[in-house]
Amino acid sequence: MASKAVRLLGRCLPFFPGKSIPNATRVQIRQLELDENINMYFPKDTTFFAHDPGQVCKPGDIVLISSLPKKLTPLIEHEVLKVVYPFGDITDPITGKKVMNDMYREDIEYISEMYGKNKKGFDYENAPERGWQEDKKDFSHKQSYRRFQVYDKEDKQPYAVDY
Amino acid sequence: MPFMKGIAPIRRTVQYLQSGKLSLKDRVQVFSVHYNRLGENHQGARDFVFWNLPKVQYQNPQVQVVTFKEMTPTPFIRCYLDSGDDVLIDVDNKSKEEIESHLKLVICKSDELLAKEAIAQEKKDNEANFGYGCQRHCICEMPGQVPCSAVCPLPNHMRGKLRFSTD
Repeated sequence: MASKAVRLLGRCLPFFPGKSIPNATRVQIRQLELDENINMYFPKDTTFFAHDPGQVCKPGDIVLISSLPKKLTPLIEHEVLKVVYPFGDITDPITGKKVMNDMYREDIEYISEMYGKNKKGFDYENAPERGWQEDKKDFSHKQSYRRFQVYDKEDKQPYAVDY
Repeated sequence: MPFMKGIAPIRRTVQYLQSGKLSLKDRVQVFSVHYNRLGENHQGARDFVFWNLPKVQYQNPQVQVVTFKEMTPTPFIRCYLDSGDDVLIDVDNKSKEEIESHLKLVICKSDELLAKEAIAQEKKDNEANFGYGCQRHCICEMPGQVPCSAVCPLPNHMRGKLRFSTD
């Protein structure tokens, strides 16, 4: 009897600084763990690599992952099923409208029209898709390395990451 | 109640956790609640998370219970099923009790099903056994068997002490 695939909801993390893992995203799953001493639940984060061949996930997206019946690689045990809430572009499932935190985008636009629209303000309608500056000015999706020990002020290491 | 620290430490007692009535169906894998810190329409959802979420997780340890704050203007509960579908429950302007009763109707096991499962889970020993720890103390309790010799003595020809006595 095959065991049921476990589905989990998690947040995409940026790339893994170290070995490059192609077609996979790092997903952080938050689960509640019972502390037996005070009988209270505390959030516990676990990180999984989820198989994502189309690279649909970007850091910050809330995705639904499912455990694979058989491990793809020693590191990849899950696969991305769907991006539930893309980062910064959340659609309220009840109304179907686009939202930004606790306001509907159409309300934000209406209020800004009343006050006088700022020409330099962010235009949701005409803004390009997330990732349009990749390979031009945004290189955060590329493989990098953890910052080496900085011994003198001249050692800038502009492409290193600190986490 | 040990460690009576924090707001409403009653939530941190085993009896409170075990008193949860929301036993989610086996299909449910993820139980997510979206609510905001402010807003009167979110008060019911906030109360539900404060009072009932630990109970839900305790009753359903295999389900991932997760909360999202400050994401949408209206609160809702979304359950992801193993079939790939998700159940969307609007809890805008609902009280904690309304949310609980609605969830019980929609995605929880019914009381009849829970009772059946409880019976199935009980360890059933062989009903035919008798003796210490069994349902019947002695075979003499069953109609049709030889009655209890303490109550009704056996006939003399069946009693060994009278058959084999040398008197």
